[in-house]
Amino acid sequence: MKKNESKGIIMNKKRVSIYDIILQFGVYFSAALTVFVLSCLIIYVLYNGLPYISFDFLISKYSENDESQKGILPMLINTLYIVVITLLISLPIGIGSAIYMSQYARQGRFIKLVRMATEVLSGIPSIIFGLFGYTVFCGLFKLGTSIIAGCLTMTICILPLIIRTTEESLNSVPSSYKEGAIALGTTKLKVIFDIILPCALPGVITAIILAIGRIVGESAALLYTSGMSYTMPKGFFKHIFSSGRTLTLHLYQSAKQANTPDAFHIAFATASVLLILILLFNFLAKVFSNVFRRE
Amino acid sequence: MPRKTFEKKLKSLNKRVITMFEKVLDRIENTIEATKNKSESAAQDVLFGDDEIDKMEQQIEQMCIGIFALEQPIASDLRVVTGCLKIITDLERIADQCKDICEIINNEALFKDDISISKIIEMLEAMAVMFRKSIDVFKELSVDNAVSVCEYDDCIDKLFSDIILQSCKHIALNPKDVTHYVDYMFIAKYIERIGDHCTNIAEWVIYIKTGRHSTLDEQDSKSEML
Amino acid sequence: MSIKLKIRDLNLYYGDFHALKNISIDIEENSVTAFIGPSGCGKSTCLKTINRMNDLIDNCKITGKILLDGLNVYDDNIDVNLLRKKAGMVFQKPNPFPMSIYDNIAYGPRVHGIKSRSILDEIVEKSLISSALWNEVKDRLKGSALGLSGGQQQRLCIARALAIEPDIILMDEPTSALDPISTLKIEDLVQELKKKYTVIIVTHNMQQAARIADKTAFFLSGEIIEYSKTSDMFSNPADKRTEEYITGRFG
Repeated sequence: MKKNESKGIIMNKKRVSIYDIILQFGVYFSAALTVFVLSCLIIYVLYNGLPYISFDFLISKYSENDESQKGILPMLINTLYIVVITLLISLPIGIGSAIYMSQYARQGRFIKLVRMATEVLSGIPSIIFGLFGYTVFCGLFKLGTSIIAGCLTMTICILPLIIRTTEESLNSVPSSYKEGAIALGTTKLKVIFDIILPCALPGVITAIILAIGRIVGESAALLYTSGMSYTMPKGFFKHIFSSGRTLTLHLYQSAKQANTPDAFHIAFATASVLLILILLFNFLAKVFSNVFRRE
Repeated sequence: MPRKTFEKKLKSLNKRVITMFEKVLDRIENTIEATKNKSESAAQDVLFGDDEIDKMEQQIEQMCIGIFALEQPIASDLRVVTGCLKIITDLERIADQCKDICEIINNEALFKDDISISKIIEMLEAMAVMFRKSIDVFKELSVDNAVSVCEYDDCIDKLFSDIILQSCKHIALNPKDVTHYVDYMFIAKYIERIGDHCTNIAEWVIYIKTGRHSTLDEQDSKSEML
Repeated sequence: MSIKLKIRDLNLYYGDFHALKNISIDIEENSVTAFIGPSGCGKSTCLKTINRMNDLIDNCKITGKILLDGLNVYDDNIDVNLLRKKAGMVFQKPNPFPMSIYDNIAYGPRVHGIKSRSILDEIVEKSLISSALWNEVKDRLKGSALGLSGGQQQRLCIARALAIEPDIILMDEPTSALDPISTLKIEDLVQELKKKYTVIIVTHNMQQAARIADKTAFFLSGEIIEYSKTSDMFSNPADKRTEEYITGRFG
């Protein structure tokens, strides 16, 4: 009896169906294709761009007419301006509203509406943000095409991202920490700043890094708002209110105006710089979240 | 309802205790038989059957300890197991007393005094009635009947003091028969002890049913006063 | 013994759900009181009303009185944070904060305004000694609290509750996530704690209630069915429903 029973689980012959093989092949193929396309793209851009990147390219000025001045220093500076100012505006607002949504608001219809709104907002094509920023910030607020107008527009762009990522990481803090602290006679605000925010910090940092990547990579929203000027800053604060093109806009512009093969090289070199920056930020985000998770 | 194996164990415990009751009743009836009809075989039965009772007691004890260790009985379950554990001790003692009586009764000389022997038989039968009552009390877990068993003990005590008084008188009149009358007194004392054991059984039944036990409660109030 | 905590006609509603019905109970000072009962019977809810943890829950309505040293904790002029300092709480799952052992314990006193390093040192040591953890962790006070075993973490949480010098310690199934040996250690600790504090413990483990509690309250669907000396309840419960529950014949 016993022998027969135990025999039941022994496979007599390998029974692998043809569907299994096909499906498995399909899955492997899709994955391989994705990796292949991505690496083709990166290799293509870097192959065309890297030879023209030099230290000089990174630190020299730019002029449309002067062939000797084809550097991207002003664009790097403008990009830095936009990143820093946008973060300065959006982080307090974003983190504040994330705290409100996860810790204070009663989880009702209103919060659902806000959450849906942020999701929709993050799905809107960025050119629409550009149009909005152009009419409201540049026109209505009389800021003109300026870096500050670009920053305000970018703020709207990345707020949903910051709010959602931060809120998620706030919500993932075990409620037992909160209970424990409250039971010790702590005020809610103190619990949030002492316990919950520190715990959620890795998530917040990831949100910041992702936001930086988004700002660096954005073009459509800035096209109408921050302008195309490539002059060097004339004053630290004055520059905020003047027009300035970022790396992406520079890429767009130089590719558009390229009538010689040489001009394409500038576009590709700029693209390479952008690509490297974005890869770097994504890599940083990964490293950060891993380090914190291990702790 | 959960705890099926536990319920089974409790049922089988109850059954075994009842079986032991019946075995002990057997001994009592044989003792009466040996006294009434001078039946040698009945007396032998009691004398040599005592091991069986001892073994039963041990088995039931083991079972109770097993239940304590494995099932952690509480509340009414705890009282049932504790009660049974105490009751079987009394049952074993009763069987011992029967054996003691049968050992004495083997003496032909004792049957010369008809009056004394009939008094003993009367007392034995009263005790048998009381024991049968306590079996019913245990089977039915009836508090009212248990109280009446305790009260019945007075009747046994009365017969006991009668026999003692009578024997004393006889000894005073016929000092040479003193050994016989001491034997009578011993037998009476044994029967009186059996009555006490029956009372104990009834008290434990009251405990199983209500959680109150006359001697325990006294102790409780004493220790609380300290 | 004097009465530390008096609950009178306490009713609690979660929305339409009547979770606690006319609870009245007196808790003696320096005693261990156990709340037992099936899941959802309201025992944890009742415990949480004492330090007003249920304030955190939306649409929870309460009527009746809870008198702690004669003061109704639901009076308007009660400072909830000071109340929670008076009634420390230990939770079902050990929940040390993700910081060092030292900071975990010093957190409460710091919140309540103690800044002096030497006083904090003293409090940390005293609390750890009282929770029988000092010898195990004295060499790694700066180490992360999350590196401790489950049982140690729970004793750390007890030390954390002791550090704010409460009068009452509320324990919400403190051993349900622990192994048997850690459980027994906590039980021993509770026996020690009752010399200085009043302990109320919610437990699913009836043997635990039997082992450590002086008095036991049996909850069933929001009511207290029976409240008596633990030895009485476990040898001779007065109510049939209590009997069914503690002998495992329930449901």
